[in-house]
Amino acid sequence: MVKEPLGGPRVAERLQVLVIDDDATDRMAIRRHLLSAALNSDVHEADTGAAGIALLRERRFDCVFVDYRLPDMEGTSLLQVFYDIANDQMPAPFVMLTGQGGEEVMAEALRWGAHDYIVKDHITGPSVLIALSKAREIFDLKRARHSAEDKLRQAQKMDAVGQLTSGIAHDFNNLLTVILGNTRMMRRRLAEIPPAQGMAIAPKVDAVESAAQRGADLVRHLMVFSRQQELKSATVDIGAALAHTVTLLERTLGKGINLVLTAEQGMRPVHVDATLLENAVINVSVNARDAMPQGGTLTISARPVVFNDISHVLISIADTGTGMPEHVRERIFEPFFTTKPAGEGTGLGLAMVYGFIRQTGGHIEVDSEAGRGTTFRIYLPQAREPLTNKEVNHAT
Amino acid sequence: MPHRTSILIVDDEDQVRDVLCENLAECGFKVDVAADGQQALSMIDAGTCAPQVVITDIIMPRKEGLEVIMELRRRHPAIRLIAISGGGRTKSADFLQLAKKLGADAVLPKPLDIDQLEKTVRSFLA
Ligand SMILES: Nc1ncnc2c1ncn2[C@@H]1O[C@H](COP(=O)(O)OP(=O)(O)O)[C@@H](O)[C@H]1O
Ligand SMILES: [Mg+2]
Repeated sequence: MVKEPLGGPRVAERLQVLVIDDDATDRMAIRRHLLSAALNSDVHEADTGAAGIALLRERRFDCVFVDYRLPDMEGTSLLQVFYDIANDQMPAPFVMLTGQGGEEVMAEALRWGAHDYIVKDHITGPSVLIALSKAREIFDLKRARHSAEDKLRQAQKMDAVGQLTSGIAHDFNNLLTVILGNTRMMRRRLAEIPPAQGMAIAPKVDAVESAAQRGADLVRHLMVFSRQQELKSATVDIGAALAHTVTLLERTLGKGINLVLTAEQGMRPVHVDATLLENAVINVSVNARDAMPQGGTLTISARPVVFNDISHVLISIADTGTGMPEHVRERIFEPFFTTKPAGEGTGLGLAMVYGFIRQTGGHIEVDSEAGRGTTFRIYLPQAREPLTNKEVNHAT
Repeated sequence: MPHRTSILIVDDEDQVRDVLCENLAECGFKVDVAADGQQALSMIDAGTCAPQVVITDIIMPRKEGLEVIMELRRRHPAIRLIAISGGGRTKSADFLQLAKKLGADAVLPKPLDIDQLEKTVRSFLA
């Protein structure tokens, strides 16, 4: 990413300004002041609220000037269309143009998210430039505060998960010890009776044991996620690991899902906790199944790629399900974020996946559009150790 | 009568104690149980139980597993110690890592893999 130089707009990028006002004289005045200040800007104009709203939905602006009284609506009504009350956010810096003595309008405008105002009779060079820079500054401050709050919220949630986890993990592991210890005894008793009699019971014992084992993995995953336990990393052949996971998924996902696995042969191994990787792939796949209630195709593939100049294995998991609107997509990795009914979703699946992938030194990203299906991409760095001589020879 | 290895299991959860006791007895060991560290130490000091191996939980009421490990190390250095725990940690270290530092011969996480536990006990006797 190229770093933006401090202060002022980027040289190559022109300031995009929108003026929404039915009075051509006012529009001209603002345009003239911006241009004469030698600001590198493109000034767009709209003479109705509707036209302004259409432009705002279409593209990004660096500053918007809005008349308080438009032929088709009040200026404040236009603000309300875009104002996100919960976050005190607007999509761009907004300056309200008010009439003489319009203190009430000014107060109202600021309440609805405007960042500054100019009195119409005083559209002078300095007033336009001051309003522009003030509005942009306030906008940036609000945005920075908002993202800091987001991070804080995320951290508090992580803390909550951590406390919850350590609170239950200990008791849970005791319960699992009891379950697994008893299945072990049952197995021994089974070995003592004629196989014909045991046949009906043995698979039940297997089922209890594997469920308890999954419970144990889940607890461990939560512990790693909340940073209370380290990863058990080993050198893993991703192709083989995925093949194993897919056999589990075939049972879990049910009939309606067409499962496709394509893994490139002979990839260099990855240093990763194999059980947690399997858990992660299962978590993402189960979400995919939930997004395909009518059935569909789940494609899991793995191939080597170079990502951030380092060789990685890319695992992608693509579904043909409902996809997600942006406001959901933005939040899926948050702990406890779920769109599923209470009792069905915990909102912890992807948060755990995210925590685990980051701790492994990998990356996860998602592509999704409502109605179009979803693809998760997981990048895992290939074995970190420097290349051995032999490998160097191979490479050259 | 062949000499049987004697094990003392210390855990505050009855069901955990029972299931470990049953499984290890089945493996051919002589097994005693104690519900906390205090009880375990009095049994050993009074001579009502003379274990070669003590398997102890870490977080328990009355006397904690870590204290049991320290005291047994001092008073009965010949006894082999296995610490078991379902997780939990201080700020800097895992309880099981601490147990190891304090002198446990082996540490095993819960949920316990009992085959592994049996193997560990046998490795002490070889
Ligand atoms: N493949 C997908 N398609 C559509 N939505 C998804 C998909 N994966 C995740 N989501 C959304 O992300 C949310 C969070 O997922 P997750 O963290 O696994 O929690 P949960 O599955 O318990 O809701 C889901 O509730 C769902 O709205
Ligand atoms: Mg989920």
